[in-house]
Amino acid sequence: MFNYLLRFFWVTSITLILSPLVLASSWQSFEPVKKFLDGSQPATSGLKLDLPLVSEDGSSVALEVSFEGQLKSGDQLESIHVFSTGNPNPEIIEFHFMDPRVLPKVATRVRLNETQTVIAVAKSREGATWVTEREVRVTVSGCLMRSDEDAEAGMQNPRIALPRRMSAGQALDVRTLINHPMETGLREDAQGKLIDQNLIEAFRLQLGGETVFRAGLHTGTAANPYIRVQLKLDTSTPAVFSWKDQQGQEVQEEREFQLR
Amino acid sequence: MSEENKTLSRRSLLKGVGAASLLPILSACGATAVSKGTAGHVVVVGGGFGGATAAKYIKRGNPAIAVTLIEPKKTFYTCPFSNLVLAGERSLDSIGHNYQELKEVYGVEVVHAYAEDVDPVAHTVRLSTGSTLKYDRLVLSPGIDIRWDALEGYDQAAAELAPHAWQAGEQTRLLRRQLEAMDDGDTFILSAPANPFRCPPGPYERASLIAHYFSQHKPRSKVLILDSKDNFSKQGLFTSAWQEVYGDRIEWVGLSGDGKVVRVDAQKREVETEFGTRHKAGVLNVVPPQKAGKIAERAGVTNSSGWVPVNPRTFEAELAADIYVVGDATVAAPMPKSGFAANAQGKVAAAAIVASLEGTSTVDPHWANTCYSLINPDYGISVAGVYRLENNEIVSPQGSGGLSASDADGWVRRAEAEYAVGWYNAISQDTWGTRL
Repeated sequence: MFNYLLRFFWVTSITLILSPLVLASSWQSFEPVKKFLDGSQPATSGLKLDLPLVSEDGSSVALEVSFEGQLKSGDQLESIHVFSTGNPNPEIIEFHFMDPRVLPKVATRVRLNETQTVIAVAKSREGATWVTEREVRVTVSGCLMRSDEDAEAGMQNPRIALPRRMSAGQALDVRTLINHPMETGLREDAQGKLIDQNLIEAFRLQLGGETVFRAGLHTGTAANPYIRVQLKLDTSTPAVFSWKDQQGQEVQEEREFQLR
Repeated sequence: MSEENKTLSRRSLLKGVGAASLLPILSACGATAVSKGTAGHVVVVGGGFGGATAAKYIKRGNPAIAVTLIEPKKTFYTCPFSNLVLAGERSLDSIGHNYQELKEVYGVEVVHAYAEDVDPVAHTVRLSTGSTLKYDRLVLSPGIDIRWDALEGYDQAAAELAPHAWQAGEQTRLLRRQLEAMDDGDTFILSAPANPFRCPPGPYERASLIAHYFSQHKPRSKVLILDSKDNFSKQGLFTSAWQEVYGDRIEWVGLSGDGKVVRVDAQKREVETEFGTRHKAGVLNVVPPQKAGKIAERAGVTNSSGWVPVNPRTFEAELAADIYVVGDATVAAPMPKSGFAANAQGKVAAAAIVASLEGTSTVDPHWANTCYSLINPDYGISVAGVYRLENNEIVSPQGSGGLSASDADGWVRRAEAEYAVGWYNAISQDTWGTRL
């Protein structure tokens, strides 16, 4: 069941010490990841993926991915893609970094159909790659049984939270949320009829008219997409946050990063 | 997989040396030996649903085993039915339980002290009285502790102003007093945490019963639930019952509606949500993020989640030998963190401990759980679950368990409210022998 094995040692024949020993990794044999890597040999340290060990609600699992690896001088992190090995579709979400003002540390909420390995891969502009993976046990708590409720179909209530006080050079957490059902096209309604796919496809952040960050959303992105990015700014700047759905509809919110 | 290895290792060890020669081996490595002429000593930390049950059932399984129960409180107040106390429908005394039966009928030695530290190698527990107890097997049933560092502005001092009342007793009394003193027309705000936490339907039953109290004593007051999640236990049943019984008195705001509280100002009884909305309460009840009771951390059996992974076949901790952990502190999902589940797990650990001290083995356990929730004292709803082992993981077999029917008649709701009282009396009797 687990992709890693735990080796056990008896110490003074009483105390048990656990030592996780990675023997096999999912990413090596997972086709979407192999395709992304395109033959390159990824580094296995530098990319960090945070997920709960156990989730009691697979419809919304908190995920954070951050890049702390070494880049050659002049090189920049280009993108991080997150894949599911146990959902009907492997794509969960992807993040594209177009500007060094956006730090490679992003959080979101994802859908996990069942217990599985989640894989994150990163690529730099010059083609260096990184990979990491995490096992998540998904189990619906006995007290959490529920029936699916129908949500509104369109994009509603975009929300942006900026830090109350912002100063130059400081890492600024920016949280965004928009209400949308993110219909996968795989779910049936009460009458047993498939509900049409209806997704927000893209989230974009512009600073001073220039796109600095983009997220590609997929069926593995939880309903009511939540994205938290981290910025580091030198000067105050106007910002535009936008979401675009599969029908081409777009919702925009404008804010001002006002540094002290 | 890992668990099988461990179980096999231990079993083959036991087989290899034989039960009779087990004692010299234990003493040879400096740990507590099972004293000559006794069947072993078990220390149980925590006298709630899990610990009291384990103590009792070890004695029932083999009265020759010496059992010491460590519990600071002389009277244990249950979280189940404490929401009725908040609503003024029950006295706090009526949910208090003592250790008379354990002492007098079962011969458990009960020590009213805090367990401050565990040495898993030396097999000792240090108590707040200064004394140290040796054990052959240890049961930890420490319940939950609050993560005081997880929610900005919510520390121990804040909890005296904005109670959590998620451990029953003084906190329950405090919240009740605040509700009584609140002005009619003010809002009761309950901040509910993300999973996992003690008693998944608890916040929603609490909101219901406080709305019941308001409908009789503070007709202009409302209840606002700010939630860090989008889905909660018995959601459909709760929301339709709220509509039916309380109209718009109860409002629930989920994670996607900006319900997640990220900052608490207990002085002002104000909370701020993730996207900057501020809400002001007449009475503020923060059900904060939680983790396993502190002694589990001291014993080194918690993992990075703050909870205790266990071998579900025996509820022995994955991270230390001879320490069994039951109840809310464990990672036992899909079993919920409930009193019923703790009681059931206490029995499984008791059977496993008796067997291991006797050098025999146990069968694979099954468990059941029912969570009753009251919308008002005459309106009950429930969720039931059945659990068993599959590949050494706890699973809920397909088609087992279920919820109260969504379209049930009034008499069904009344009957379920009666069953809830029956359940409470029965489990109190089973755990402490204190049927009321």
